[in-house]
Amino acid sequence: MVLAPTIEAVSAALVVLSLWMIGISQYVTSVRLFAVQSITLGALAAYIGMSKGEPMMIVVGIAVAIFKGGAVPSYLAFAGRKIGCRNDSSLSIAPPLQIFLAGSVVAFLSLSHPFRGELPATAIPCLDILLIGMLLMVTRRLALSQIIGFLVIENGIFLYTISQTYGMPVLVELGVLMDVLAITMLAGLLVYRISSTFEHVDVTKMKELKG
Amino acid sequence: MTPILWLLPIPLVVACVAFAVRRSSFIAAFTACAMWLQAAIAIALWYPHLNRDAAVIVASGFRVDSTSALFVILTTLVAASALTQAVSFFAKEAASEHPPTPWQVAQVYIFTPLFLLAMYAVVTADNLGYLWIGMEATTLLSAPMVYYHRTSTALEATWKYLIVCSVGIAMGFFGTALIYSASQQVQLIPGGSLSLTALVAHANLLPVGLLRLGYVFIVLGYGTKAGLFPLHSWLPDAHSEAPAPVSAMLSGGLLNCALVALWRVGGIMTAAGQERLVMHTLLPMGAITVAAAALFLVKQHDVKRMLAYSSMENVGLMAIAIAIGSSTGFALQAVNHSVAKVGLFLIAGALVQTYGSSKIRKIRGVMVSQPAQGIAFFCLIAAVAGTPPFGSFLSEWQILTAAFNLHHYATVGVVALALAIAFIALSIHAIDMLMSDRDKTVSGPPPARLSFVVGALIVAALVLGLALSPAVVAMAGGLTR
Repeated sequence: MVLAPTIEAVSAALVVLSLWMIGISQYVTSVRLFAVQSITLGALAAYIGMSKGEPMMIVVGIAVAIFKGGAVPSYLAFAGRKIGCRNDSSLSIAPPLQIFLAGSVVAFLSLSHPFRGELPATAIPCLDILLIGMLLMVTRRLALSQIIGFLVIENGIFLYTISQTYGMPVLVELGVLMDVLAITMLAGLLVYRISSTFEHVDVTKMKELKG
Repeated sequence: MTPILWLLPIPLVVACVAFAVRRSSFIAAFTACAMWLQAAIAIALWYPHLNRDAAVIVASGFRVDSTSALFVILTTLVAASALTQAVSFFAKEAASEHPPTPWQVAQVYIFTPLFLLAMYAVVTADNLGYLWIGMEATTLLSAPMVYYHRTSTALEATWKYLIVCSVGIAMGFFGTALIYSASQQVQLIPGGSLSLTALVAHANLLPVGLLRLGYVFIVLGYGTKAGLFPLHSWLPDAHSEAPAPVSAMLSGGLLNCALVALWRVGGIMTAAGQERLVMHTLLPMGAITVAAAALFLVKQHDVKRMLAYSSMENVGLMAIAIAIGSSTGFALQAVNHSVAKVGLFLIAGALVQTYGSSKIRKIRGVMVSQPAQGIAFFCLIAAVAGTPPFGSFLSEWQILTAAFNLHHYATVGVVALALAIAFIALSIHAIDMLMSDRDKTVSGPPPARLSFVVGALIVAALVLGLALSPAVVAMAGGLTR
């Protein structure tokens, strides 16, 4: 059967893409890499749908490729141009070191396989992408890069649903996609407000509320 | 038509009217009337289901059972009370120094009814996927209302709310996906299912490892939304920045929804014989939440943040009730907390408007200048702190005795100590605002009358306490000789 090796190869490629995203600080490039990741995921979903004979999964795959791979990245790139953010500078951990850290986590997860009783080895790439997304959210300072981190987490979960469960019920998948689109829209609008209110988009500097 | 479909029309009409008509005073009055009609519908159609044991599945993926009936009625009443008070709240806002634009107010009225529908979806969902979608929708639909004041702090609170809750809930979705893949390994559920009914029915066949992993992720996800420590960071910010009627709905409605989700998933775990995992996750989390909230209450300087931390304390108690599987404790605590806290947020909103600040040290001499508000505030603080004549004393007693009977002595000790600290902290802050001398240099605001809603909520809190008190229950059974 050719399906399983394909899923594994594509999952590995997606992990590499996420690692690449964590190693760069240029905003536009990370948006592009995210677009590539989402389109690949959509294509993988459509391919699995075709070989399993599930038309609904093909629909979900195409929808993901169009919205997460096309609409969301264009919107994020537009928002970035509008508020003039180019570079996620002065990160507390330098990007090359972040690649090294994330790479070690990925290596640790695949070699030691801590959830042996619960998850099959093929589910490890989903965990990798999920953790890398979290790392992106924690380390990035630009509000827009945090949105990308969130979307990478979502991609990791989507990879799990298509590769391990061969698709959740289609209404749920589409509802989730709609929620993700709405979050991105709303977060983009908020970032625009942040840039005009604070004259920066550095979330680590928003510290008025505490206690 | 099913009881669920009857809930839809009025909120949708209200949202459309608020979108079409931009006259704040008209929308406010219209919404208040419409919401009481909605409350009447909710009570008429859902009250008969309050003591229904078996769930009825309707409209493929939604259910009518005692839990959904209780929380549909409670949430509707919370929304109706909050939106009735909103009439005078937004009228005062319009008369203030920095009046909001009509669009700012209209936004609140567009999003609140939709937010209410999302909460209905969460409490009535029979499908873990729909439950997740509803939960995420509550975040999306309430975030614009947190940004109501358009200030930098409101922006910070909204950003934190949106990002923290979305990431938390993403973990909840991963947990849902894990449980779905667990269900696919059961022969009796062909193709897998997210239906609560199917999952509970075949719970003992689900692969334990996958189920446990999924449950942990779901607790992380919905625990964030419920405000369990240490995932609570969004809660005080969002509650303090939202306009008072919305804070009341967040505290009295939304937090319950997240706890209902934990209750439902806990039901699957219990059916699968994994109640120890539920206990070992939620019991410590709940106790730590109560303790942390009590400590935050001590050094509080903002009245709305103080109320938010008090909500967190109550959430911790409800989490303990869920952990030990005490349905009475959970239901009673939810009702009592919602009734008292909605009243408190509504009075706090009025006080903040009168004194022009939410800082506790700026709100002085309430008893002298606003006696009616002062007495109401005092009664409701006593109610949330769990003082005897009020209902929350009974529910807290119920939860603690249930935990004690299950030999969780350490938890009971920690929680009892934390409750005492919280009680002292709340009383000191309340006395600070109510009894202290008014600053004579500032001309005092004219005394305001107590709104009918707040009065009704105090009566409700008292009735809940008296009607359910053991003495009354015993007397109802007749005296023995």
